[in-house]
Amino acid sequence: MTPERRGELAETYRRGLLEDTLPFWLRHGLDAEHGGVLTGLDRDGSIVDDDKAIWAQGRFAWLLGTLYRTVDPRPEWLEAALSCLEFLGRHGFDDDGRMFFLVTRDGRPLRRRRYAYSEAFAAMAFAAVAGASQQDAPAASAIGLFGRFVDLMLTPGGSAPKVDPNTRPMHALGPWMIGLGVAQTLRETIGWDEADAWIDRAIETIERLFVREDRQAVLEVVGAEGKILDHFDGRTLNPGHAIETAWFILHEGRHRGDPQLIGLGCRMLDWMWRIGWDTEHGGLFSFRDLDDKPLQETAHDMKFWWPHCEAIIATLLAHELTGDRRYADWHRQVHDWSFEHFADPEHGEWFGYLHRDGRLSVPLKGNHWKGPFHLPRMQWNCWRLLSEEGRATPIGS
Amino acid sequence: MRLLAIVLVVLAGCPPALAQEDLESRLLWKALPALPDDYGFGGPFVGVHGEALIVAGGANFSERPLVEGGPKIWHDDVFVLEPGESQWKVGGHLPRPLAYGGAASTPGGLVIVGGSDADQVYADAWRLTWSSDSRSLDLETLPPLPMPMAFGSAEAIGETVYVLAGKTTKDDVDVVAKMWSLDLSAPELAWRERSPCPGPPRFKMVTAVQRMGDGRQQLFAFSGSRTGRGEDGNPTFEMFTDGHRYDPATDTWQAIAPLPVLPDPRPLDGVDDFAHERWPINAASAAPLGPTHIVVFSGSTGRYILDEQGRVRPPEVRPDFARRVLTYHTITDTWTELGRMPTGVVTTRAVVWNDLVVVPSGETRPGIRTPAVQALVGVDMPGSFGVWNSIVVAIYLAAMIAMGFYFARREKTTGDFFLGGRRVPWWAVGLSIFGTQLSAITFLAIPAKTYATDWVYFLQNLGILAIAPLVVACYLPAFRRQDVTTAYEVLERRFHLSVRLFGALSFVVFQLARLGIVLFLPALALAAVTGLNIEACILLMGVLCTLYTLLGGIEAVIWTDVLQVFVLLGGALIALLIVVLGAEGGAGGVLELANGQGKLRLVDGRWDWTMPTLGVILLGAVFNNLVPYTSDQAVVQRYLTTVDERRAARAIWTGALLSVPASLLFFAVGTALFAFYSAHPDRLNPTGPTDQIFAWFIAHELPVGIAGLVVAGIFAASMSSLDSSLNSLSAVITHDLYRRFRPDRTERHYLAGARWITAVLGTLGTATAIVMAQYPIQSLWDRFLSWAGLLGGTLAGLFALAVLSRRATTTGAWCGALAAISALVFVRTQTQLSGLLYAAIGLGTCFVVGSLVSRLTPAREASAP
Repeated sequence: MTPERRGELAETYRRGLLEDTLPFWLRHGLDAEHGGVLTGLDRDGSIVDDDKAIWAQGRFAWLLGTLYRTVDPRPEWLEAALSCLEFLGRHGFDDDGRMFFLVTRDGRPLRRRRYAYSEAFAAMAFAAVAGASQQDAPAASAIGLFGRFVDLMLTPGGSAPKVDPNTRPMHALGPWMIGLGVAQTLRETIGWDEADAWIDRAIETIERLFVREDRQAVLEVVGAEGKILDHFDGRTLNPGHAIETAWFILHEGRHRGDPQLIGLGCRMLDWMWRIGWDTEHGGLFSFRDLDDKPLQETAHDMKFWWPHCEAIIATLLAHELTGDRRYADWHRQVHDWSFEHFADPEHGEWFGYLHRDGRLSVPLKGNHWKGPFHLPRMQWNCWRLLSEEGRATPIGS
Repeated sequence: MRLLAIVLVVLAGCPPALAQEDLESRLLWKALPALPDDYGFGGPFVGVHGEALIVAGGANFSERPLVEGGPKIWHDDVFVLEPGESQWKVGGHLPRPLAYGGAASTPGGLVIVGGSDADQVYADAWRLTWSSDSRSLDLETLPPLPMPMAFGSAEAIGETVYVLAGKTTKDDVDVVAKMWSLDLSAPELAWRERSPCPGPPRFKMVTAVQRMGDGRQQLFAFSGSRTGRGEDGNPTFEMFTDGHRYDPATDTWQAIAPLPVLPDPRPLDGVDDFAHERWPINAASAAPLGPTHIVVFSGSTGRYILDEQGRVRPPEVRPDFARRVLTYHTITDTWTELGRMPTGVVTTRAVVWNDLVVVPSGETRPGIRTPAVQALVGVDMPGSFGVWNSIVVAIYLAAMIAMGFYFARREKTTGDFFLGGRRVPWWAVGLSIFGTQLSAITFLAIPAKTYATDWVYFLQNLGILAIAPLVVACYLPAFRRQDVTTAYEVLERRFHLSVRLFGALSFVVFQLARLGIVLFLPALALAAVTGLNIEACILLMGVLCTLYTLLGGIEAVIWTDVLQVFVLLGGALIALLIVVLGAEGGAGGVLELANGQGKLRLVDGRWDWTMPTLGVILLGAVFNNLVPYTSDQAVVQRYLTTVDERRAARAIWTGALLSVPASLLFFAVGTALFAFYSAHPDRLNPTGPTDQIFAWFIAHELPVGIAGLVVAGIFAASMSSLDSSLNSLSAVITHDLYRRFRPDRTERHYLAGARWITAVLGTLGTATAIVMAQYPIQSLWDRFLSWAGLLGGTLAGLFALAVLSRRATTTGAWCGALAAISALVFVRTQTQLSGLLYAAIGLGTCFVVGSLVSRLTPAREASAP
């Protein structure tokens, strides 16, 4: 990659983050009345649904705290982060300590899920704000929340599985991937000294259960001891998830200077790129079948924004770590396709959901899942990777 | 004793539990700076010259990927990486774009031969040299190969380059089996045809140079493949799994162990199909690892080149190349799966650079290369010494100090301090004579030597039996009846003060030189097995040993020897039992295995005075034993510690007779080690030195507690070498060099002096050993020691003249000594004669010349002994 190209790209990501994505959410999403952030927004930022996603509160607070810590300590960023955290603290928790998935605009509970991802993203949020404000109290909350996530998601029997575990025991990649990412965040924001142990354990588990050299694929759900489940669930691959995991591991390899981890991350990326990239229309498929059989997921050939964000980070990081031109080529491919199809030049930010050929499916800028996270996290990471100061210090996830 | 036997049987049945080893984490890897190329290369020329790592040429698909039908592009850049640099630089260019040739690193430069480009295969050869001062690359043309070569291989042994042929044209079918060599030190450079590797002609063989157990460098070649054309016109691929070893001295090849039976490193077609087979390692890279291992990275198994219908699969559906890392061990002729590499790559070359094994670039899957440069830092072998073993060592060391204090009360005179008041039981003295000869170095070295080679040194250890009658009949009376404290007094009484001083000073110089090394060498092994750092081992031994020696004198020295002999013999016996009882087929199985590999050879019947052949061994056996038993104060002093001569004779016989079962035991342990590691090559430490193999076995395979006891015995044995040196040096300095000239002081004065000298020498020895551990001066020391060792035979010659000849005169003695030294200097500098002969040459020359000169000189100065 030439220095000119690097500079150009860095500027694209920096301006995208600071002049487009962030202002969009601060302007349209931030709820001045009740606190927190609204994510059910139309393409122009007008509210489509005013219920509040709990994930988004944590993720936005993480983003703002991280930018405050690493980019520029702007008081309005910290203020907004604290608003989300406050909303989380006041309305995010059920009486038994579990967190909700969805609440009303003013914070009354609507929905709880078995999964504890709300806790994971809240942990990242508290950690980022603790790192930004140099305070101990949110750091303790972050560690506590991560502990609860571990108990519920990474401990056998922690939460009721979707499928009867007696009939068919299953392991999913998601919890380990999220656990890995949150542990990395806790290390990089508040220097939590037990993070490395969890990172080791997550990577070991991921490699043992889901990274299948024999199939040259990263599986999403496996049976006991990594057995391939010849069913819809077991065969369904999620290239975006796998590529996100790959760059978490690449990041770890970079942090530790460990070529084994870099090799592992590159392999995961190689296989899932090969499986996930649509050679006909470009872009990454949402789901693929391990044996190329028909899928149950009806959105399988849609193009979602977030796998593309993750692939942009992963290919760029892989290129930075190996110097391999292939990754630069892939990065250009996925970057160009994404900016051409997802970006909304008129109102800013990205659309989230396209048809296979790149046509817009829904014009939403956010919903209960899409919010201020994957896109700005990609912009922040890539900017830092490409700029001088970014190369000097490890990136946070 | 019965209880011990039962315990042993039980222990042997259940060796220490094997921890579930994670192959992934055993290898320590490091990423070197990536090559400054977009895609990396297949078939680059890789090597080392001076301090620089060089990667030249290679081919890739830089225009368009192979899957899009892109053409292969050849390159001519020569990239250079110097130590500590974070970036490769372009050092220059090859004369043409080139890849898939051979590269061999020689001291004089990187030799690159053959290779191909898009059009043809070449025979050209060049020598690349990199000057780190002027940072410039130089290219010298060498004679071309007798025929073109691509996908062959080049290796260097010293200044000679060996090239295995491969393809001769661009057609994959044109392959020849040939080998050529080029001696770069010859005045006329020319390729010579050598014996080709046996088996069918092939290419992409995997080669490396490594040493055998006896130190000979050999060329190893594995696997490879052959392409043919089926009747339907489709290509056929034949991949090989055999291994061969080439001996450059005899120009012969020998078949060695084929590749191991393992699961498919890349079971692509379904999880249940983990076929166990001998998987080929076609186009893998290999390099020497540690003293006697070869490490092999990745390799193509050939399994996924063709589909079920026999058609070549498109590259995009073929998997990544295997990440498996194998090792071959030259001593046991065995394969082990060592672990995984970060990224599997083939068609490149691995080289050793700055203690790293570097695997630059290479193909990660068909059509795809990587610019990454992977480096193997080391192998992390599990296992620690443990608390219980450490406690055993601590108790043992404490017991030795207690002995020092116990005997200290009895040391009133120098007679007590040096001769134990002549009250030590003969059997203890006998064990001590044996124990003094058995240093920690020999305890570890004899099994290691037998493990690495065979039993040819065995007879050498029995030499004492041959000379014991002579020592008892002639030498012992001479020492005992003249009531001496040191051996060298005999030389003054028989000849002249000057001869005594020569003897005493020779001894002092030699022992002073040894002081540091006798602590340093075992400390290396002990540090490796206990996990203590080497300075701590040296300090611990040096301080404790000096302390008990200066307190307890010769009695402490002798009694700690006795304890040590029991522990070491017991430890060796337990090691032997554990191996034999655990081996398939028991003792018979071990013997059969060892015999089949030629490990039981007792006699090298060749007629060659430069090697340990039978004649050399027999001469060495007699004379190398004669030297310590007749002229070494450390041994002779012990003859003087018994009540009378009769008991001293018994002591000598005890030591001599003990050496027979003990030697059998130590050599048997060596063979047992060979058998054990042949069956469990995965338990070897690939980077560990061969001479520490027994120490490694003790720490990792002996049951907890017993391992501690034997390691304590090794500590004790190293201290026993030092304590003998300290006490006998102190005796010679006090007696021959001080009291001889100042005879009028009190006993208390001399005793205090002896203790002071012990303390000073102990400190000196410890300090020297620590300096050796800090700075690489050991080879310097070895050289000094081997020169000082030349004095041994001469000194024994003087004693032979004094004791065996009635006519010998002082002039004769001096002439004999000078003639012997001259002869030895000549032999050492001008001939290749085996070092085992030096004692015979020194002693013989001194005695013969001394006797002759004595006949020619007036007898008036001669006095009867």
